[in-house]
Amino acid sequence: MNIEYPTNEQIKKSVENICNEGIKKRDTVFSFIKNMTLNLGLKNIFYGVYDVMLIAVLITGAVYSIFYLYIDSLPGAEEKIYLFSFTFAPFMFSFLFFLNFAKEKSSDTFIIKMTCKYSFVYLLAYRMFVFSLLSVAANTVYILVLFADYKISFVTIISLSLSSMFIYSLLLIALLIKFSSVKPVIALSVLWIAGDILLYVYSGDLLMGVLKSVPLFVWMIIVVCASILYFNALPKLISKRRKEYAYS
Amino acid sequence: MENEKVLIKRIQKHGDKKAADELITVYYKEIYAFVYRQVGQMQLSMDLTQDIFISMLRSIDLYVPKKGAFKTWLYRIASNKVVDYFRSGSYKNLSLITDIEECEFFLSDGENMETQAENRALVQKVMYHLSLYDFEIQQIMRLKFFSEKTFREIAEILSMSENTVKTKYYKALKNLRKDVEADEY
Amino acid sequence: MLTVKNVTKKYGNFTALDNITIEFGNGVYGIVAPNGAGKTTLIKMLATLSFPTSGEILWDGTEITKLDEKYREIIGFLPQQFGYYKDYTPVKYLKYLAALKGVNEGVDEKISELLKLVSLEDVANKKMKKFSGGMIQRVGIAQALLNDPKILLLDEPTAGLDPKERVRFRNIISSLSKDKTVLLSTHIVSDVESIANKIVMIKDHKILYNDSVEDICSRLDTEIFELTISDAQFDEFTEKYQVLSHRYDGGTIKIRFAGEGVPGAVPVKPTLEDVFLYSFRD
Repeated sequence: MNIEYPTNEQIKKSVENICNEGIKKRDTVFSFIKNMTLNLGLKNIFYGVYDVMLIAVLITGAVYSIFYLYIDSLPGAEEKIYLFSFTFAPFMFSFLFFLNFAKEKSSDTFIIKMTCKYSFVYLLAYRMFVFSLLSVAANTVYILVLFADYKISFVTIISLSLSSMFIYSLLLIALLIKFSSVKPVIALSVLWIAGDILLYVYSGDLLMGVLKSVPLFVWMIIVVCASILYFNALPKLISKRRKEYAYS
Repeated sequence: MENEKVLIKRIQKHGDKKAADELITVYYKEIYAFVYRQVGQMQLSMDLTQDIFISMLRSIDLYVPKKGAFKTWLYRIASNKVVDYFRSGSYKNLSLITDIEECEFFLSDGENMETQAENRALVQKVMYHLSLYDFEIQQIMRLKFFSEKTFREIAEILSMSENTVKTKYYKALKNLRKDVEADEY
Repeated sequence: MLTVKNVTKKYGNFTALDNITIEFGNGVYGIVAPNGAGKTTLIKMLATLSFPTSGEILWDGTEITKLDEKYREIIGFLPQQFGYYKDYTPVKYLKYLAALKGVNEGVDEKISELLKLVSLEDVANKKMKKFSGGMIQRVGIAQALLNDPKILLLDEPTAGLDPKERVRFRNIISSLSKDKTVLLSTHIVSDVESIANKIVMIKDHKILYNDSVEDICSRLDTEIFELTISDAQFDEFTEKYQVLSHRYDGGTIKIRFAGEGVPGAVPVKPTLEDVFLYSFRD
């Protein structure tokens, strides 16, 4: 059979079309946030989440306060504050993540939402963006307010807490992207907490030594790098193919 | 092809349009021919070919070299698209195909194709009946008729055993012959 | 076309669906099987809530898992348990879901249109916590149509509805545009008999039938009979013959059964219910 081929020009044009249609521009975190905000609106994205955020802020404040009241009775309070800020920093972010996740999954509307164009994954990624900002703000404010009287370097403390928080959230999102399930994330959190407690109890001084010996600018670099990686990873959560209705 | 692997990696990791352009250009004519032999019309063939490659690009992150050759994976996408096109009834115009090599099969022994017109009529019947067959059967038949692939290659493309492909092919061929002979129009 | 190709779904050692192949074009398909036979599994896979263990599902020739949100844009789904926010009104809830479905234009008109379609326009702004099961279900149907889907997946949409609601539901489905692919799973034959273009029966995790109602019924032509017997004879009869259904009629029992050569038995035209009961007898 005689095949009538298109001209080379036509083929070239067609292939160009194909590449434009077939290769989607990778979302940057900014375009992602912008699109979602415009198309969905904050009200829709955060429906049912406001109470979660409020609870998280309050509980975090409570824990900080308890610690504040407790350290008076400890010798070397300043050291303890450094240690506490580092180990406790991811708490609020992790609390927000799990509480939001549990609330969403236990709702009857979960299944319906999963079949919508902007499924749970989209909402989750957006919310995590806001959660991390909220955690940064809350951690910073609590530290500044509660420990105002202590002779500590606030820049150091805040860099410590932010490093810790962003490292944790980076690991969290990496696990989510890699495994499409929340189980590894639970494992991460349990290990982090257990690790914290063990370090605190058994080698608090050793850890403290390490933390204090790292120069400030290194912590700052860590904060910047970890946060950039984390925010860039957020849109990847969406482009990753949803392999199984797991998130369970 | 080593170069091909590099191109695919570039597309997968960086969304590299130039790499995509290069890769597709290599396979464009071959896939186009596969479509054209069945559809017979240039614009339509270009449209379907375009759909096939777009679908390929959109799912390229699912392609893993260790699962098989890229070409095999591409043909699977192509055969899915083509069969879907025919089975969904968008296929209305039958008169554009003029020849199938295997048409000789459909003549009873001893007959000859007297005229071009007879040939065309026969081909039309074959194409019509073929488009009614099951999805998988059509995939096998179309790959065999229109893409010069061996049974082994077809088996790879469709993730079936070679024996199964052969069995299904010959059985379908027999049915097709019967259907065509029974067709009085 | 929506093509299910050699799809198997396993949960551990249990096979829910065994190598099924089926295609869905435009029209209404009734997926009929007893509970637990795999209907919901199939619908869930078509809604991308669950994924085949092997095999593929294609839309327009492309795997639906590869289409991602482009596929979700063209489907409407009503799950068995339709969840809602009690404090919301239908309008508010539909507006919310419309946003999630990426429907941005003409939302208000669309919502009032849909609420009219499901006869809920009078309670459009009343909180849903006071709604009956049937009304909630209707909100569910409205929601599934928000994005004008090409594929409508309804999982046991009539479970728990009273007869009047059932009729209303059938009318709604019949009135939908003909260029949609509508899949309706149910174990209640009468729900789909009158509205389905094709009936798909699943038995033993495989497709048993995929045909129009007439064609399926004609398979049991000349095999279904009716007979009137007395109460006393009933038990004996059920032991000997395949009784499909029976009805009390005055002092006697009118039975429908499969099996030839019974004196006095009148052959009757098989109904879809007969086929269902016959096919799924234990």
